[in-house]
This record gives sequence, structure tokens and C-alpha cells, in this order.
Amino acid sequence: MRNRRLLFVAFILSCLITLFSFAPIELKKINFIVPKGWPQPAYSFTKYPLTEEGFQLGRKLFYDPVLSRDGSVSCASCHNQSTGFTHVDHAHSHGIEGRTGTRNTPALMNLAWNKLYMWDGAVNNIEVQALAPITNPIEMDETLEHVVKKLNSSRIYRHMFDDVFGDSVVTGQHLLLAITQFVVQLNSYNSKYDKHIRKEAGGKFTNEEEHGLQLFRQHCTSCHTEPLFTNNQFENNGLPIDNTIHDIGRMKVTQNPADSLKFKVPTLRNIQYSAPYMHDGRFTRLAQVVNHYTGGIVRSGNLSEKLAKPVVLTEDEKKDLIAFLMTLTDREFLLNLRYSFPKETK
Amino acid sequence: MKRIYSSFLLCLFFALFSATVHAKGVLVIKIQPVFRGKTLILGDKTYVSEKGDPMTIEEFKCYISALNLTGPKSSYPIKNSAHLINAEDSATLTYKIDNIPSGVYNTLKFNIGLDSLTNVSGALGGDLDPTLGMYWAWNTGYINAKLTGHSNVCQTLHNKFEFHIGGYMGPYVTVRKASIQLPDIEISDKTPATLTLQVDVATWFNDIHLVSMNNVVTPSKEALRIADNYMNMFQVSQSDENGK
Repeated sequence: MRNRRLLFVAFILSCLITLFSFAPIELKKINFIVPKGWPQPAYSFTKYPLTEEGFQLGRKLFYDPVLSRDGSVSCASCHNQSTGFTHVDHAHSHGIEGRTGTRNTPALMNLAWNKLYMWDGAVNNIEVQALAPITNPIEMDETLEHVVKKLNSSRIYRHMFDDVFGDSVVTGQHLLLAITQFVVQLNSYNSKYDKHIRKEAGGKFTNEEEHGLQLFRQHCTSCHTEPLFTNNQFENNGLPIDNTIHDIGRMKVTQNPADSLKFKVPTLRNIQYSAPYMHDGRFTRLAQVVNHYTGGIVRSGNLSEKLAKPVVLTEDEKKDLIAFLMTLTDREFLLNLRYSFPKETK
Repeated sequence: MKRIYSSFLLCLFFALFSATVHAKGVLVIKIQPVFRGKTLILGDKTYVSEKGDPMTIEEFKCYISALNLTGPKSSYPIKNSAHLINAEDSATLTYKIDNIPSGVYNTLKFNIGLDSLTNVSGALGGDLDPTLGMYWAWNTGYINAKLTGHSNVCQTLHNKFEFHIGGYMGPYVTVRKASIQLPDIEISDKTPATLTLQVDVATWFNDIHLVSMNNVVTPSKEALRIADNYMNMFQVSQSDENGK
């Protein structure tokens, strides 16, 4: 009788163990923070909720040169955290084998509020953005099929994908979704400007900064709209065309002549560190940028109507405007260890 | 004990009842790639287009999606039915559809290619996974249909011609609607019904000369023209016992 009871208990125990070993791992959910006063993000998190495991997998991929054909270049090669995830000192970044691109690496932040990606809006969803640099011959020059094959031969990656997606076979879809989990969390909203708006400690503006903010709201805000400092539109900002590259911008995607020379309005957050400036990185200093808008605009047919009225600023006003732009620097973002190279490995 | 027994019987009865009322069946669609009615052989076999261009076919891939079966009494939209046909992969030439409400159907409607919603929905899986060579990275969107090969009239590298037909935004929308009249197909829970469709790639070349048009790989006027050419490439196979 006693034996029977023991057997029964053993049976129940083994049933429980089997059940638990097959139960999916509980993933740690992450709530996406919408800063106070900000609009809702354009990207919806309902289909693929954010998880800590997904974030860490995406982070590992972001810093892993396995994404490039010869294993020499990772996302972080051109998107360096300390400069707002852009390529400092490089007007045009270089991909594998020193191949040089034609456009300035965009800074990465607050991407969930974007609708279209790249300077010309060629990519319509953040989930598929990474495909562009992976497959571009002058960037990583790889195929998605081959990256997936390489990842499937890694025991560590197969484990991580299994944890996140419940499937130890890496697929193109899961690779892209993992990278998305990381990049949509690169959010910057703790600059001096933000603290000033929220009336928090460390947010007290100097007279110059305050005056600069007023000038900004008078002349710049129609395109670089607060709080994201972009209206997410495509505009011709009057740059003289570069005859060596002859980049027609948005028209390349839409094939509509009205979109000729239009480029995405970039965010100005962390602009102090994200030099050089403009889609082709032609300006290295903010003073050059301000001088372009006050005196360098080429008035062609489809110049942004927001630039129709000339901007006139005195030298002191220009200095104040730049003083204000410096308040958009968010050191908590630029130095956040959570976004940096993942030193711990499984 | 008796009560448990009777409730079990009741459940069984309901299960049987609902099974008979909502009987569902299976349709197996077989796809035969052909060139002017003759089985398409990839690689060495030479075909001649309507305009007289000789050619060999290297690759043929095509999405079908949003399938809908219609009969005199009912219409059944098949959810998430995007399917990639690849002439090289025989597994993709059989497409099984489950859970079709039983009844008689005589029309099959579907899209050749993918609608705009699919094109803006981010990273998708299964037949829509971007690793399948049917996705553009340089300008987001799916390639709806792909046909490549060689012809000695093409003044190109290795005499290659390449048609990657895609584009979901106006004015270059390349998805096409197909509507095919079927012999009456009876779907029941007994044996699966079969339907054999021929897909004739010769239609792509209806009104084009390969010497002047041999590289269409972006959303464009040329892409629209080829999509219009191939919109009738699917037909019910006459040689098979369809619907039986």
C-alpha cells in the first residue's frame, strides 16, 4: 500500500516537472514610456510587446558585425551611442572594404514616433529598416538569408531566439523584430530643455538660452517641431545641389518631380554631438547651419514654403540660438549603459 | 457517477451535432507552371514568345493572396492566405486550404501579388518572410512576381532578362485581381476536393519585345504593363478531373 502511495506521488511529481519544462519561459515585459506632454508614438506595440529578453537580443545584434558580409561592420560602427547614434566626423560613412556612402548617417533616437525612415523615406516601417543597411552593397553588403544562416549556426543565438520567440530556428522576421525591440527603446527626453519644460531641477535656462528658445520658436519650429524637434516631413531646405553626388532625395522613392531635393527633417535633439550636419554632412559646425538658413538658401521651385520668408538674425541672436540648441543635449541618453555594447554574454 | 456519465454523453452528442451542421472540408489547389500550355521546364529548354523572341526561363516566383471561394449560395474568404509559388520548389505548387464550409463553389477570386496593407505591415513571417527573395530593402515593399531568364536578343550581361514586378503606391500599383470560373467544386467533410490551375508565364511577354524591354526591377510604367500582361495567367487546367 505504501509503495503504491509513493508511486503515485512520484507520478504526480514527474507530471509537474514535464509540464514546467514545456511551459514557455515567462518574459519580462517592458512598458514603453511616453514622456509627459508628448504625442503617442506612431509605432504600435500591441502586436509585439516589448520584453527585456527581446531588447537584450536586439542589443546584441546591433553591436554584432555578424550582420555584415565579411564580419567587419556592425550597426554600431556607424551609429555610435556617444554622438546620438551617428557617425562622428564622417560626412559619409563607410561600409565593408572601405566603401563610401553618399549620405550622412542619421542619428537614432525616438524612432517609434517616426512614420518613414531614411533621408528619403524609402522605408515604411521600423521593423524592416535594418534590411536596408544589411543588404546595401556600400554598407554591409550581406543578404538576410545568409545572416539568418550564420545566426542559426550559433548555439547562443539559437537559445536567445528561442527564449524570445519560442522558436530556436532563427527566421528573417524574428531577426528584424529583435533589432526593432532595441532601436525603438533608444529614447531621449531628459535634456536640459526637457527639464526646463517640466520645470525640474537642472532645467533653469540662462538669459541666452531663453532668448534662443524664443528665436527658435519664431523661425525654426514649423519644421523642427517640439517636442520631437521634427515634423517628420520631407522638405527642400534650399541647399545648393551637390554636382558630384546629385542626390535628388525623396523623388528617388516617389518618382514625383515635386519631391525633388526633398529630404527628411531630422530631429535636433543631441545636435551638439551629431556633427556633421545635413543629409550629405556638408556642414561641420552649427554656426554654418545657422548661416545657411540666414543667408545661404537657394530659392528653387519647390523650396519649403516654410522658408519663403527670409530669416534675419543678428550675430548675437545667432549665438543665442546656438546656446539654445545646446540645451537639447541629453547626457543621460548618450551615456546610458543600458544602450551600450553588451559586455555580459550568456 | 451517473450524472457525470450523462453529461459526458450530452457533450458527445453536441460535438457530433455541431460537426454535422458545420461540416468543413479541404480543397487542394495544384499549380502547374506552363509556357503556352506546355509544362514549364526551368533551365535549358528554349521557348519562343508571341513576338518571336527565343528564351530560356531561369526563375519564376509569384505571390497569390486574399483567396475567396464563391458559390451560388455562399462566399468564403480565406484568411491569411498569402502563398508564394516558386516553380523550382514543388512543395509550393500544392496549396491546401482547410476548414472550408461545405457546399458547392464555382468561382475562385484572388490577388496576384500582395495588397498595400501587407506592404506596410513591417516584418512578417512564413511565406512573407523577407528572406525569400521577394522583398525590396532599398525601397520597402514586396516583389509581387518575379520572372528571369536568358534570350540571345537581349544585349545584356549573359543575355539576361529580369522582371521583378512590384510597387504598392500610386501611380505604380502592381497587385492584380484574378477571378476564375471553376467547374462546380463540392466541398464536404469526406474526401478533399482538388483543383488544378495552370499558370502560363508566356502571358508576361504578350506585347513586349525583349530586345527593348529586358530589365524591369522597380515600380514603374513598365512594371504596370507586365502586370497587366500576366493578370490572366491563371486558368483551370482542362486535362484534369477538376472538382471530382
